[in-house]
Amino acid sequence: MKLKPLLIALMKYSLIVFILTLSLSVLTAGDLDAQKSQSIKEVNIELNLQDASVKDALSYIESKTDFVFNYDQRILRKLRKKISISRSSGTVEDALVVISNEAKLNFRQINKNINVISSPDENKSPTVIVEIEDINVSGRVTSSEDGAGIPGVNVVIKGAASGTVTDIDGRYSLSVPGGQTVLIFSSVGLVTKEVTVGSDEVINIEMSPDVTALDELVVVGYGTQEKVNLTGAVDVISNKALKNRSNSNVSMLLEGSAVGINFDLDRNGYQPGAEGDITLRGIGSLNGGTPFVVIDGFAGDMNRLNPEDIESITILKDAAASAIYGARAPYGVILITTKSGGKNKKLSVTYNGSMSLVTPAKLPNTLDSYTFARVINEAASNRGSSHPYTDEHIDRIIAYQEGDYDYLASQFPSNFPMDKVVNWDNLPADNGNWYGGGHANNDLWDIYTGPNLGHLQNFSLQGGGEKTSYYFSFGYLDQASSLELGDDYFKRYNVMAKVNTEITDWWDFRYETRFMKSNRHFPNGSRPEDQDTYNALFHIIYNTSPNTAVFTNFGDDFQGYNQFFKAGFNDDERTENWQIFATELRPAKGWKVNANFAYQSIDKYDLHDGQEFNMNNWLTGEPTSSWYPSQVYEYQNSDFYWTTNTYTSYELSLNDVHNFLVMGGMQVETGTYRALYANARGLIVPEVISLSTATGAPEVRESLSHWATQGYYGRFTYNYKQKYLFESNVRYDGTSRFQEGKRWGFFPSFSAGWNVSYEDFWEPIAPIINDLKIRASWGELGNQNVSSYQDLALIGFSKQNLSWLPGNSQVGQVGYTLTPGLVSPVLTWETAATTNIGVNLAFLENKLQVDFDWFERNTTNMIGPAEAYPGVLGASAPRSNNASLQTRGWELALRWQQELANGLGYFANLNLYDATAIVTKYHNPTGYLGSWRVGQEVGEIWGWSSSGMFKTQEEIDNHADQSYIYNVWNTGDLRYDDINGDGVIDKGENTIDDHGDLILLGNSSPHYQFGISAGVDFKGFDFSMIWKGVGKRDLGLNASNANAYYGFFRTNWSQPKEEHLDYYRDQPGTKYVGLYEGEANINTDAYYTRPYLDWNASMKNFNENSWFLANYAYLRLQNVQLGYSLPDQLISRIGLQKLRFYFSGDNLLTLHHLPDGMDPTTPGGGYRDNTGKEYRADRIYSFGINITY
Amino acid sequence: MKKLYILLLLTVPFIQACDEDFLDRPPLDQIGNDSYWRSAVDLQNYTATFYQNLPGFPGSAYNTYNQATDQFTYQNANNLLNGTTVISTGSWQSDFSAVRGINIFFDNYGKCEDDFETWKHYLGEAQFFKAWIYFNLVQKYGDVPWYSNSLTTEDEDELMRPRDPRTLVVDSILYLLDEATENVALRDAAPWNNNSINKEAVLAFKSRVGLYEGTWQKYHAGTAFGTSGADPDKYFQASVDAAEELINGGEYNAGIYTTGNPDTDYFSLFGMGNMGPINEILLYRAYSIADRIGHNQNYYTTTSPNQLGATWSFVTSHLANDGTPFDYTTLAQTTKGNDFLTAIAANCDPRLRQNIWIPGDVMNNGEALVFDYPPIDEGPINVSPTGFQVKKGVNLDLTTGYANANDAGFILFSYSEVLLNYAEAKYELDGTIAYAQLNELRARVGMPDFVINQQTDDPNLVDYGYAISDALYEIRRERSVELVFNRFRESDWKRWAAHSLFDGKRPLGYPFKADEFPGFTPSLDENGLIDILQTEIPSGYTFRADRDYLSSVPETELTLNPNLTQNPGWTE
Repeated sequence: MKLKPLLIALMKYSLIVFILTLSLSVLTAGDLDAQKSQSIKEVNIELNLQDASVKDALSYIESKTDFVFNYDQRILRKLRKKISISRSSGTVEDALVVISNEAKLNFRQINKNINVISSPDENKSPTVIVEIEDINVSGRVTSSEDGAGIPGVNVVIKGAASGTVTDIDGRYSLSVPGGQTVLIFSSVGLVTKEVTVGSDEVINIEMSPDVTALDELVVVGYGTQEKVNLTGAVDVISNKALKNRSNSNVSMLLEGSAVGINFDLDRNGYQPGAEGDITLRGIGSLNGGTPFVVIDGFAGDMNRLNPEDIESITILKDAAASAIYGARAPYGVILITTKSGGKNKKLSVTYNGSMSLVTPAKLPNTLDSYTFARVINEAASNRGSSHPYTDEHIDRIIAYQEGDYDYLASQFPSNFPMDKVVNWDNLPADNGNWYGGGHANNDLWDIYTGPNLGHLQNFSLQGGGEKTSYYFSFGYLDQASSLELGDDYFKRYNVMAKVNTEITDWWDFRYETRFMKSNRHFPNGSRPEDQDTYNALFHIIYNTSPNTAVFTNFGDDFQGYNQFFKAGFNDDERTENWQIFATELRPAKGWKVNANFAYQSIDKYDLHDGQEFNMNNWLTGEPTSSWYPSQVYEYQNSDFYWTTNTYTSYELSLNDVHNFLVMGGMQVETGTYRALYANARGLIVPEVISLSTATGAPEVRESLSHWATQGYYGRFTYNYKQKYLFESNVRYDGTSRFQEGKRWGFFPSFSAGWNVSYEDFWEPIAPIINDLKIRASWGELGNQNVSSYQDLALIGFSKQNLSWLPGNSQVGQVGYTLTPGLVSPVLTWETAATTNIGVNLAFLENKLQVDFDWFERNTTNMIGPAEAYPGVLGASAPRSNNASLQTRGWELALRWQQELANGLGYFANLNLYDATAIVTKYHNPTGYLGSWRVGQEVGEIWGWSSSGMFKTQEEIDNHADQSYIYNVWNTGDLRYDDINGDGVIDKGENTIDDHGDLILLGNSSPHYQFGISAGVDFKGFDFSMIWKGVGKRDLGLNASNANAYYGFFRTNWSQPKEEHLDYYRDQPGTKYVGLYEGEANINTDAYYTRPYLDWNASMKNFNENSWFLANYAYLRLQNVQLGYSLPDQLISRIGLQKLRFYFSGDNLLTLHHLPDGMDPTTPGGGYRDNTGKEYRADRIYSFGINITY
Repeated sequence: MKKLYILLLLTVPFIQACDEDFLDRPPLDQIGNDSYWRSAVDLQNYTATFYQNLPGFPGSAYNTYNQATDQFTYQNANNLLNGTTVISTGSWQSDFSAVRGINIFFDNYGKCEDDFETWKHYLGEAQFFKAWIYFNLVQKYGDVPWYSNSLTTEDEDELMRPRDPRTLVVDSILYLLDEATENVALRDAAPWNNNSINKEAVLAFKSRVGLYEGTWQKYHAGTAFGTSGADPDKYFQASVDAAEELINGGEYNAGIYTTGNPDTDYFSLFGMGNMGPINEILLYRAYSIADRIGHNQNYYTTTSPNQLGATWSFVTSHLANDGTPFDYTTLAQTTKGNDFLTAIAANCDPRLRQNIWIPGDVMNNGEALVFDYPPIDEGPINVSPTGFQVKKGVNLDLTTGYANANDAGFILFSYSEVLLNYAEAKYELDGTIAYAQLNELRARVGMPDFVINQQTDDPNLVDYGYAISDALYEIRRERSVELVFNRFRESDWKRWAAHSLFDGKRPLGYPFKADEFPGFTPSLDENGLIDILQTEIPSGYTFRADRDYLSSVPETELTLNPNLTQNPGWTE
């Protein structure tokens, strides 16, 4: 166990944090400046306003006095009333009374703050109230995000008009009338909280950002926009959804957090460090299409980030939103913004650490070896084969289970050194070989999986002064595996620094650097030559019969099993380094010029070692065989990338009525890639895994490439009083991947929105439906993500593999060049045109929000299969843009959020999404079902129809001829329906027009994907959970790609587990055959068909058919968290802002329809795509601590 | 002003991006076709690719002898001989990819900037390879479209062309070979000597092509496979010219390998690793254990014949060792099994015992393996079903294991073939018998000089399906014996239109001796010869003489190009 070193490490970290905290608190301790306020009745002001907007009027007053107005932007925007106050001198109150009457606004002064409240009741005359109180309550308002104090929060007394605002440290003090007073804490962009004062004189409040706020700024491509002005389909995920979870990678964290995301894993499943393949809104292209990821303005890999460094994630889903990225982003954009310091923000130091207990997901229920042997024998008998487990073998299995070692000893070879026997798992063979047939009773899942400890440590510093703000962070993740096969882990180090500085008041500069180093260390199954062997380990665990001995009778590792896990490890290292310089100039009001430069280098280094594995013959002591020679494989890749981005924007507002923004810029990118591969055999010192210790001649290969792009882009937005919104984006993109003349593409998009709730006629409805926006967009994007040089005739080089020698006396092969392939003279961009229509609704004071989007994406010019040319062409015809796909879908998001007066806050979110993709053009003239075809829905499963199995021979004789599938049919085999009634079960021509007895069984694309998240917080406790599910998904599995689903297959692959035992049995069992002895064995009303130990005989029943169609719908509790934050009074004594302990659980519960041990979220995983043999999602229990100074 | 300067600075990327070549990123580990072809080395490296098209020993599967012939057999009836092949549903792409590849050379070699002398050899190699590629196509399909340039998908007219007559194609092949003769270096001057295309090999090839086409036109005349505008003599002349050039020319390095050991010279020639110094070997494919390029020929010729056995008709085509016909049938009445093998080894053409194993032969020096009985009763890997187990090509000093550890060269052109081509073509042309050349081959193995026996004296008369002269009968016999197992027989019976060699007959083995194999009862014919296909093809092979002399044009090609016509017999 790694517990001890972990605890030591944790203690060290905690100590460092503690010391830092102490020293910093000494350094920066400051005092509060209590402020006394004057009444608006006492302050005079000179005013001369002509047709000024209310906003201008209030701004003017603010500029001339110390008062600060607090208002909801939306209220003022909707006011069309112009204020005119002729040259006058009076109190502020006088002025406000005028404005109040004109604009139907209530003003309430609370100390220095003046709150502006609209008067919903036309008949009631507006009021101007002054409240300055005397009895003190004080406290501190902190951010739930990082525990830092929040300045400028309004603290008002409910029902009265008095209040205050918090200072730079988030501290406030206020006079209240008495104990039952309710304080309302509010600030723009934060969720308003109400607290009853009670007897406490100190009230500390934690406030969280109001992600639903309409005037929230949303990061969009090359800029930000207020949410109210958005016209595209945009989703924002705050870092809250990503916090305190033990998953390593951002892609994994996105699962279930956003609507419209498809999530997939590779065949290794949820291995430590696993990265999810994300697609937005269904399949984009038959050639694959993933979203474009932009981190702080530059294309990057989200999985290299420390999730703790993320401020927010914006997902741009429709073409209108992503068109600014042109040919990079046809299938959506994920914009990630990292954290920054803030100007005039006190230093805050945050430490997050957690320890995770990683335990395996629900395991398959392995049979005991005796049951297993009898069941396998029965399956063999069904085929007429001899018993794989002889009677003697079974006798030994029984003896082993009964502990009758004397009997076992009597079976051993007479000359066997019995004094060396440490276990009785195996019967050695007479000739000295070990393998004579194991009779152990092992559950390999039990042996090779178990709990392990992982941990993560995050430490960050942020803050800022007048001119400069900063953010520094360090993160360390050690993700453990639930496999117990030597070391198997993923480790990642992240370091990030970001400094923003104002050189002058019109010139900002930002420097950002991010460093990431990770190492994935895992057993390679003795196959260092392959890049992808991890899944094979699960296959071996799955497919090893329970009677197999794992150790020899001497206790040594057994060849064939243990050496897969112990003879060789891979170390896959990644290092990523980012250098970012960005500057912003503001030469004139509304005009901004931005120039950014970024350089990225990625270094990948994989070291795979293969250790020799020998067994010694017990008779002679000689090695019996060398399973694998010792060898070393090294892969070194470097990726260099630099880009510059220069753009300028001008924002103009004509009287707040006509609002314009124009933006234009250009981007240049280049990348180079270098790779070296080398391997050699025969390590002199096997412990030193290096090419220099290898005696064999090394083989070396190299690969080089480079690319460049240029893009010009522009944006124009216009809105009329924020009621009518229009936006257009264009991008003109060029890439080196295509030849001159075809390398440039133009991509436009248009979108429009209507804030219906800003219309006058909406006012009566406004109290119920607070907000309604209707959006529509259309845009076209390209896909330059194709291999380079597809349109260039290239001659490859090779110095190897010409199987022609210049004489056998000479050593060395002849170098030669390769015949260039045919290129398509017309190959060009794949294009995706997306139409999106969306509605945003808010009800009940914005407590309930509903977003709905419908979209259609037409991907045209897709690169499909080549058309047929006469063979005299002499080469495969080049692929061309000859296919099209249409994807249609919808997304629904419901959010409920409320803070109750007693301090209880809760939220519940639901998102639901579905999409269907249909092939609209493809070169398949015959409508062959084995390929894509026009009109096909992506994911269609075709197969036989069956309603059950044959029960009598007569039934078989009278049924249609099934010999197309197999030539021998028996009771207990599936009866396939003769759909076309021709008396023969076959596939016809296997085309859409003649598919014989095949029917459309279902669809393997996930449908009705949903995510549910909910949470409560009360008095320092917080609880939250995230569920993810798929409503409908089918898979047509057969015995060869899913023997974990069927249990039985051919001999070595037959591994029935407990869940497969409901199979057809019509013969009484005996001591050696059958699940049960005697008549009890009969089970003709079974779910599983009669098992056979044979490929073809198994496949006749275990194939894609309606009886065995797999249901991959599921519901998973992705994450559940319970936290407790210590009261502020308590922790402030030790100088802390926040101290939270939490428990977090990942994947604790999964509801599904598959046999135990199969993971419904990884249908494409597994050894050789044999699903059910991949790393399943671990159950992870984490305990952590968040500390903020 | 400061603002202005900074703004100006920010325009730098724009200026840089205005560089027009910015998006030109030529590949780094490959080269564009447009940039290639500049030097002699470029041409050399490109033609080197085509050496891979030349045949060799298979790396893994046993198809070295996978030919349809009467000289040897497997345990199943051969589909071609039995008329049971099916129409091809594939494509011509694999057939024509080499044509395209070599045409790319001809499209581009003119760009070479080096002195012609430095690359004319490679031009010659390309000419040889194109001739090689097309000769294979002609043998397979007869008429084929001849392309001088590589095609693209745009070349509609060329893609949709009908086939060119075989005369045009073969004339083009001969023309290319004449050109190649001018261009390629002599064997001793070629880059890799007889591992390179060389002048001697090109001449040998020309003699092969001429003989093939001449006999094809002559013997298929009047059948569905007759050639319009046939002129066999023209091609015999071409064959004779090329052979005579090699036989008479003083600058060539070619001869018959002999060390004066008639009992072993012929045998050891075929198991040799380094054939570089052997003047008989004009072109061969080399193997090297050090370079991890080896084959398993020893395995297949010793412990694991994989069902291959030589036939009775092959064995009986050997003369007695005095040069007269030998009565095998009568011998087989009385002498069976190992005795029979021992008897023919003692009494017949010495090449017979150098081509098949005789009891008592040491099969491997290192492993002390001795041939005791022919493995007629073994499982599919180890069986040689006829009793005549093939020996040619073994190297007694290399392992018999399946380890790719055999480095015997694969002979592509030999001087002995040239002599046999010459003898046949010369006789077909003008009736002259090339005694001197045939005697060179006889002398190596210690056979008496070539004489013309009367066919009527041959107790095991070979049936060609038509009458031929005694002289031609003996010349063909010499070829059959000398070149057996070297992949000539299938093309020989095809060009001779000689399906009568096997049609209606079954391949037979040796006279079985029951007490040598207790409990093993193979099918036997009326003479007691092993008759392995007795039940499978009771009335012998049923060759489709109206169809199977040429392969079918793939059906899809006919669909894609209506101008193509199918070969005879296939259209029904």
